[in-house]
Order: sequence, then C-alpha cells, then structure tokens
Amino acid sequence: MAGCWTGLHDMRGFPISLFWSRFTLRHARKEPLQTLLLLAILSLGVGTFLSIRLANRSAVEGFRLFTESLSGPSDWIIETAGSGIPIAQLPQVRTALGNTPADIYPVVEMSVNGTAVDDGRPVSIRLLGLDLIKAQAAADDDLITGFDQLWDMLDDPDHVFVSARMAAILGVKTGDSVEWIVDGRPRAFTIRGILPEFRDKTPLPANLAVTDISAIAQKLDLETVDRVEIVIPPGPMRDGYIAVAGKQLQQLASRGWIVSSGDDQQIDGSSMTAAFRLNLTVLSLISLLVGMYLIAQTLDATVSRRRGEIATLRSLGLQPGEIYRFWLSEAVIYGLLAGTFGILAGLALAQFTVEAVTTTVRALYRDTAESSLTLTSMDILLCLGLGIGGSLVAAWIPARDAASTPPAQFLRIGKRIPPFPLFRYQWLGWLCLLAGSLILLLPPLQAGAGNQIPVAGYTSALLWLAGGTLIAANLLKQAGGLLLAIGPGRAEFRLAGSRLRQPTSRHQLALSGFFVAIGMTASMAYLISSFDYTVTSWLQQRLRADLFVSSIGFQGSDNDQTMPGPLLDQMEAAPGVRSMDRFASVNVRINGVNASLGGVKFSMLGTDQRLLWMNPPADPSRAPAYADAIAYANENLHRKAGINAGDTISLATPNGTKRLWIAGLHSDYARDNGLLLVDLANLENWFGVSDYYTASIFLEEGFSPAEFQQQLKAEFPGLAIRQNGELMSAALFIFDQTFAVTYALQAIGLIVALSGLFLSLLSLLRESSRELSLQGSLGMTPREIALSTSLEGTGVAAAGLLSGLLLSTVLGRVLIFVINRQSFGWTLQSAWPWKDIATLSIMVLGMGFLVSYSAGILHMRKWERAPL
Amino acid sequence: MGKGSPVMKIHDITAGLLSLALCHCGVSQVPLFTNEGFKVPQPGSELFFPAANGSHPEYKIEWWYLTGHLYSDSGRRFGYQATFFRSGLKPATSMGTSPFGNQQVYLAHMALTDLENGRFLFAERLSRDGWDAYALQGGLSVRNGDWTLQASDTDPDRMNLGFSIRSEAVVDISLTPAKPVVRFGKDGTSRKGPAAEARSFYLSHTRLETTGTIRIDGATVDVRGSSWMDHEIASSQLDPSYTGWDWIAVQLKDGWEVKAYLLREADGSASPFSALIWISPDGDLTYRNSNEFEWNKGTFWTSPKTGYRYPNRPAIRTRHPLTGEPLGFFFQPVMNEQELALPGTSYWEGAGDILDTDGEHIGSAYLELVGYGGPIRGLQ
Repeated sequence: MAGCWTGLHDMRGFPISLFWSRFTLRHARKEPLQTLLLLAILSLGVGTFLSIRLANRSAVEGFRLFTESLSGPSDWIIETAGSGIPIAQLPQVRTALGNTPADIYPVVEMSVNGTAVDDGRPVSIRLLGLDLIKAQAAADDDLITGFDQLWDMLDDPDHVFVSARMAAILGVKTGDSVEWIVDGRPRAFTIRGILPEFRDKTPLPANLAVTDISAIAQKLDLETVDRVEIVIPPGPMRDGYIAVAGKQLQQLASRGWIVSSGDDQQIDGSSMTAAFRLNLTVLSLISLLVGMYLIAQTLDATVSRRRGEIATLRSLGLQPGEIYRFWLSEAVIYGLLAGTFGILAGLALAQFTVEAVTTTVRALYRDTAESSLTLTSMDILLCLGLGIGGSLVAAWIPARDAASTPPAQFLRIGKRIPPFPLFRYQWLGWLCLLAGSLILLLPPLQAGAGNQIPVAGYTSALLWLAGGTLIAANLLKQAGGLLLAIGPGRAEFRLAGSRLRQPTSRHQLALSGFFVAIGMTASMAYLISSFDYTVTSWLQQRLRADLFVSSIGFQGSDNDQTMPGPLLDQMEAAPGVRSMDRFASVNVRINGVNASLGGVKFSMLGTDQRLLWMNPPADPSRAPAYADAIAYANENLHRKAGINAGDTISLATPNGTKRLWIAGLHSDYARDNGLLLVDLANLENWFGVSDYYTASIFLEEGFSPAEFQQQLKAEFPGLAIRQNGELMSAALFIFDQTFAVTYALQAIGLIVALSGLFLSLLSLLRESSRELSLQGSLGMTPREIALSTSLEGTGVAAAGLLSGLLLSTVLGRVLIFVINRQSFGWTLQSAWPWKDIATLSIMVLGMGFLVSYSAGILHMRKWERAPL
Repeated sequence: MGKGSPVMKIHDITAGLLSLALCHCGVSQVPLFTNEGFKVPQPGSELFFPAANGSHPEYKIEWWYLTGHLYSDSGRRFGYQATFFRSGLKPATSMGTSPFGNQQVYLAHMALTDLENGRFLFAERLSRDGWDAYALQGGLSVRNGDWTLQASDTDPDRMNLGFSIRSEAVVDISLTPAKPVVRFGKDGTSRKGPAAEARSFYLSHTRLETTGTIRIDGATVDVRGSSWMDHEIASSQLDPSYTGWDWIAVQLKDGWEVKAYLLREADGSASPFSALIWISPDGDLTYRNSNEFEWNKGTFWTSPKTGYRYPNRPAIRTRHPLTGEPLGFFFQPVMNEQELALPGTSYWEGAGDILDTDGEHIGSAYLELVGYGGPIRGLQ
C-alpha cells in the first residue's frame, strides 16, 4: 500500500500521460470499433464543415475577374451596363488618365460552348480575349505553356489556349482543331497550348480559355470590348495614384460607363452570395452538432465503464479537479484526431461540394471561375479548433459528473448511470422555445447592397434545437410505455420498454442526436418541397410558348451566352412563326442594389406571355405623365431595394436618365437578384442592346412544334431549341442541381445519427452485461436478446423521429417564411413533403431497427465468447 | 527572327534595336529593299521636316533616344534616359490601321538617376501597335502606354516628353532645340557594318534646353537642364561578328558636342566602323574614323546585381577639329549603379561628368555600354 501511495505521488508529476496510457489507451484498444467509429463520425462532421467552407470560398473566389490569374488584380475596372466599350473609344481612357502611371488592359470575355468527349454534353468555357503581348511583357516568365509561338500566332485568329482540365473534358490536345459555339454559331478554333493549373501561386480557373484580343476581335468582328481593367504599377506613390486615377476615370461616367474598383467586384459577389453560403455553412454544421452529442455520449459511457477506476483514484487521493482535467484531456485527444482526419475527409468531400456549389452559384447568381482547391493554415486551425472545441463542449458534462460524484456513490449506483441532470430541467427547454419565438420578431442583419442575413432566424432555430433536445428527452418514457403496451406478454418488449422508461444519459443523448438530425433534415425537405412546388407553378405560368430558344450553354442568370439579334430576326421571319418574344438584360444599380434590367415585349403580356403577379398590376394608363416608361419589379427588388407598386424611380442609361413607373410586382424564381422588367424596345434603345439571352416562339395553328424544332435545330446547330416540356425538365434539372449539396448534407447528418444510435446501444449493452447474463440464464436466446435491443433502439429512433418531425414543422416554416425570404427575397408557397417524410420515417425506423439488432447480435457474439 | 521563349523574344528585340550600327563608309550598290521587304536607307535621300521626326514604317527599325542632365533650383541633380523603339514585324506602309495591331511592336526603356538619394530607377515596356502604342507619321508623336514623346502643338520645334517609372517617379519635361538638328553620314546615311544595307538615317538634336517637373517621393521637383536626342531609322542590325559597343554623347561647356562609339569585334578590337564625330557650336560635323581616336576603357565596375563588369570610366583621346591639337577627356559617372539589369540583355547607361586631363570639369555626357553581360541576343 505504501508502494502504491508512493506511486501515486510519482504519478502526480505526470498525471495526464499516465491516465492516457493506463486508462484511455487501454480502453481504446479494448474497444477499437467504437473508438474508430466515434473518430469517423467526428471526422465526418469536421470534414463536412471544411468541404462546405472550401466550396464557399471557391465560389466567392470565382467572382474575381478571370483576368486576375493572368494579369494580376486590377485597381479599376470600366464596364458598361449594356453593349460594352467601343474599341474606337479606348484612347479616351488613356486621355482621361493623363500622365498617371497606369497599365490599361481591354478585355473581351464570353461564355462559349464545347462538347465533352465522353458523353457529348455541352461544356461551358470562359473565353478570355487579352492583349497577350502586353500581358506577357508584364510577366516575369512564360505566361502560358506553348507561348513561344506567340509571334507566329498573331496572324492566326483561330488560336486558343485552354486549361488542362478543360482539355481533358473536351478531349483535346495542342494542335487539335475544335468547333465551339459562340453566340449561337459554331466557330473553328485551334488549340495552341494548355494553360497551367497554377500561375505563380494563383490557381487558374478550370474552365478558362485564352486568346489574343486581336484574334478574337478579328474573328468575331467585334467593335466593343467587355471591360477595361486598369492597373497602377507598384511604388511608394501607388496608393495616391490609385486615388488620382479613380477621380480621373470618373469623367468617363458621363458616357454611361461604370467605373468600379477591383475589390468591388469580389465584394459584390461575396455579399450577393452571403446568405446562400451561410445557409450551407449552417447546414454543414448539423453533422458536427450531432457528432457532439455522440462525444458526450461516448465519454459518458466511458465514465460509466471506468467508474471503478475513478472511485479507486478518488480513494487514493486524486482531487476532483484532476479527474475533471483527465477527462477533458481525453476529449482534446479525440478532438485533435477528429480535426486531423476531418481535414482529410473535408478535402475528399470538397471534390464534390466545390462543383455542386459552383453549379448552384452559376445557376442562381452569375458565371464564376472554377477555382482550384487550396487549403489555408486558417482552415487547418479552424478544423482542429472545431474538433477540439466541439469535443470539449460535449465532454464537459460527463467530465464534470466523473469529477464530482463521490467514490462511495460510484460504487453504490451500480452499473446504470442516471440521466443527465440537465435533462431534468424541462422548463429550460420551454424557455428556449419561447426565447426562440420572440427573437423571430427581430429584423434581419443588413449585409450591404440590399442583402440580408437572417441572424434572428438562425438564432431561433438554434434555440429551438437546444430547447427541443431537453423536452424531447422525456419522450423516451412514452416510447417505453408504448413498447410495454404493445407486447405486454413478450419478454423482449417488456425488457426494452422498461429500459426506455428508465432512460440513461446515453439514451437521452442518442435521442438528442436523432432529434437534431431529423429535425434539420425534415425541415430542409419541407423547404425544398415548397420551393419545388412554387417553382413548378411559376414555370407552368411562364412557359407558355411552343418553342424556347437559347444558346446551347445558357443556364440562366448571367453567363453571357447570348444570341445575336439578326439570327433571331431570321428565325422570326420563318414561315409558321406567329410571334416571338425575346429576353435581354443589363446590369444596373437601383437604390444602391445590384439588379438586372430586363426587357420583354410588353405587347405580348397578358396574351401569349404571362407573369406571376404578387398583386394584380395597375393599368399602364395610370402612369404619371412625367414617367418615360412603365416597369414591373420582381419580389427580390421589392424587398431588397424597397420598391413598391406605384413608385417612380430614376435610372441612369447611356441615353440619359429615365424615369420608370412601377406598375406591378411579380414573382420570379429564375434569379436571386432584383429584376426590373421594361418593354424590350426601351431596353434596346436605352442601352443599345442587340443580343438576347432567350427567345420564345409561338407557332401558327397547324404547325407542329416537334417538326419545327427539328427544322430549327438543323438550321441553327449552335442553339438550344426546346419544346415546352423539355424546358420544364431542363429548368427542374437545374433546380435539382442547386440542391445537390443540400441533399448530401442531409444524408451525412442522418448517417451520423444512425451511427450514434449504434454506438450508444453498444455501450448500453456492454454496461448491461450482468443483466444480459441473467436473461441468458433465464432462458432467453441471443436472438431474443438482440430483438430486445433492436426494440430499444427502434424506440429511441421513433422518439427521435417523432420529436424531430414536430420540430421540422415549425423549423421548416421559419426556413420558408423567414430565413429564405430574408436571404433570397422569395416568398414560397408551403408544401409539406409527405412522400419524402414517409420515406424518411420508414428509413429511420427500419435502419434504427437494423442497426440496433446488429449492435445486439455483435455484442451477444462477443459476450458468448467472453467468460461471464 | 529566331524562335525562343517570349521573354527571350522581347530581349531579342531589345538587343536588335540597340544594336543598329552607327557607321558611315561609302559603299555602292545599296539594295532598295531587305530580304524581308523593308526599305533600305538610300544615300543622298532627302528628309523633310517635321515629317522626318515622325515614324517611317517602311523601314524595319526606328528609335527615338533621349538622354539628359537635369537640375532643380536647389541643385539636386538627375539624369534620365528615355528610349522609344519601333520594330516592324512585317513591312507596312501605314500605321495605326488596327487598334490591336500585329505589324509593329514598340519597346521602350526609361531610366532616372537620382543622385541625391543614390537611386537608379528604370523600367521596360513592350506593346503592340494599336490604340495605346504607336508612332505616327508626318510629325513627332510617339506613345507607349503612358510614356509619350510628342511635338508641341504650339511650337513645332519643341518636344514634350512624359514618362513614369512604376509609381516611383513621373517625369514631365519640355525640350527645345538650342542648335539645329544634325544628320550623320557624308552621303546622308550612317553605316553600321560591311553589308551594303547596314546603314541608317541618323538624326540628332545634340543640345536641347530642357525644363519640366519630376514627381518623386510624393513631391514635385521643378527641373531644368540639357538633353540629347537621337532619331535613327534603319532596316538592318549590327554585324553578327560584333560582341557589343561603347557609345558616348558629350556636351561640352564651350558649345561643342562629341558623339563617339566603339563597335567591338569578337577579339576585343575596335571595328573599323567605329567613329567619333565633333559637332561644332554651329552644327558643323567633323568625322574621326577608328584610327583617329583612342578609347581607353579605364577601370571596370562590377555590378552587384548581375555580376557583369562595365568599363564605365573611359578616357578618349583625339584631335580638336579647329586646332588639330591632341585632346583628351575622361568620363566620370555620377554614380556607378546605372545598370539596366533586364532579364535578357542587361546594359549600363548612365549620366556622368567630362573632365579634362587636368581634372577640370568641362562638360556632361551619357555613356552606354552594351555587351558586357555575355553574348547579346539577337546578334547571333
């Protein structure tokens, strides 16, 4: 004994390391499956968060100008709302700058379409026309592999360089001739080189193609460039000259040219997508949140299994604070490992999420560069912090219990650990629910440029999750009672029911994991179903034409895939075409909010074409005399820019300021930014627009849309010509794509919850070895014992399902009517996803049963092998 | 032009443009065109001003080369070099036909010596012919980005030069000829090698009164001083056997100027096409061939940036054109660090003082030393 006492004194010098080697590691070695599963779940939680973080960053980085990777960031950018900057007027930019040191880069940028080599699908390529001589001269090394032929290729208008990834997708190599669709027409190009993946340390967009501006201007007979980028060279007076240049360039604004700083471009993209990215980040934390319940559960189980050791340590004089630290140190190790593996998992998952998020951003916002994945030191720190922080938070209550319970009580309470004291405070749960409801009344956070972050909505959701967890824990007793009522004569039912009626903290934590996972999953399903229903209704209202025409690569939003007017004129003049509507848009700022000014033929509204009105539109004849035209604002613009029906707004155009009277508000789910519709003729006149995104064709009676479609396809191979149903399918396909990430995050959350159930049942069974032994002695077979376990697990899953579904009905409405409306400016019609919920319920109960049964069988096999 | 990396190509152009010969020996049978189709300067051709100050795209190579010595009112001293090159990629008869042209490229080197702070700033720029880089015909109007050299709208004899070196310095000066323009070459063309087409039209403003401003370190400094400008038009480069050249433009206090250049053969000897030319206060020219002057290289300075060694303190001996008496002078750089350390072809070009054999200050000069950093690309 004296030796032991001495040993303890020695141990006090290195208590934590001894604790790990003699206790933690020994238990981890004894239970490798559980240890690994726990680590896997936590890693998945951290990894999911990281993958979404990387995808979000990639999406925002994509808003940087495509030229940045080649010619560096720009200090000033000159653009126009509509037709571009005339090449003939470029010298005026230099004149405006006087003798200010500045490099000026005119840029042509457009989306063109190639064809994937594997399945023939159209592939969108961002084609950049740059002054390659100037860009190369400013570079320290070869700008592009294969660039040594620059001087020879100046006379070749077909030359182009493509990214390595695009070359692989298109199946092309240097020297190949390709045909791409540009402005709806096939054009021949020659691949003269492959772009590197990185330039210096800047990743090049994966969908990038580059050509000399001279070549593309000559090839497409361009008279304008899309923008002019201005770079002030380095030096101690650079900041001053940037400011001077900004002032000098403002004199060009009178031409209708828009001068913005390079940072503005990315900030605009960043704030525009802030709500979307935050939604994803919150969703990505579900699995981590569920994982935290599992950590708590696992450490709680560990406390239970090692209570004899704890009692011994306490008896030998270790202070509660030391035991508390032992347990927290164990959580730190779990967190550290989970953070490390989570980084690897995150990188793997990001391969999927980056593409999915980019696709969504392109569909909802505007075309972005596809950036390569880069892991920063901040990512690593954040993952490790999340792993360790999450573990510590989760370990706090078990560690405190381990430290504070007197040794005698440890020995007295036997094998079963009582429920967490926290779960007894139901009033706290109700208080959280009430607080969450009141917070909903708060307004959203303004993120600039009309964008809103629904902080109150998220806080409410968090409070409801926390409060709901405390309240839902009591459902276990009801579930136990139900089992007793269902099978009063069956031992399996009675055993399972009685265990649930006296739930341990492990039961409660497993239920909490389910509650959170199902609550979030079902509420997201509710949101998606409502979105689906609303968008389908809207599409049915909007898609009334016989045929719809767009460039092959057009995917909505702002990807520059336009069709030239003369081409549509030719189509409109074809026999059989009764009428044609066209849609074009330009970027404008209305009340400080970035928005689109769209043009459609107002003469066709109410007859061939229809809008989905929020309120019936006013009679145009009521427009005030001073108004230049009437306009219809979409809901997004109404909410973000504060525009209402009956308002008059002033709009700067290249043809002077125009006053528009808002005659009505309409719903529009094609974009996540404001849209103001004016008559197409006005848009054409004010902005010199002659290219169009889409066209709708209405045929004369007796003409078959299918035959006409075939005829047009043969005549215009660069255009996508779809019938009504096909476009509906294409639109819904894009819709599905936008939710691809959401579906994946839901699945991961559920997998984590099921794994949690498996883990908790295994630990419960282990703690019940003596009872199981007794049941075996009384004649129960392993199969019967496993059935009892599965009923117990199913009871937990059912309680989690029921409480989670209840949560989802209110959480879903917050998502639909608060978070979604504030984030995206859309009002959705509520549609409860009966089918999805039924599937989810069957899956959860079925999987819960199977997982629990597996845990029972697994334990019984182990138990049979071990001496009692 | 040979093939190579684009970086090499840019420096091929640099070297090619720098390497136009400056000789003036009489040779018959001068071809009208080069093999590429560019015109060859013909002996006896007349040049008409102010059109001759503008661009001549029918010739392959052309440059406007300015150097000068500037002083602020407080005596702060600056030296500058401003060089605008034009190189035809293909024969053209007119300029500016395309905003993104592919017939001409424009290279430019700008340098500023700030003696007070011991700083030497320099920059290089390469641009295609078009909206932001051009040399117009009919009069002096040359642009390469924000670097410009143009005849004044109000006074056709006066020139305005504006250039920046990154955001470190901006120079804006006006240059007025104090002496008439001179045309080198007894037959109106300046020879640069043994080949018949190796000749140029070579015009110089040997003394230009200069006033203007230099914006540096956030302050604007008023300056005045004296500049020198060469304008050379040709279609052929230096002979491939040359390894480089030493060139000097001397402005003496007594109103005389001296231009001298040493074309170096592979064995280090001076080419017979090396020359020294006296320009009298009235603009009269006196030629000294390679046997009639000595160029002693003196001590070498080793560049800490590139490791190249430059003989930037030469001593020149010749005879005075009026007295016929032997005369010697030394070039003393205002500072050693005046090397344009460029990725391909580095060279030294800097301001200095001219001292007589007694060490008396008798003038100012700009010295150019090319080919001391290994073979010059473009000559081989």
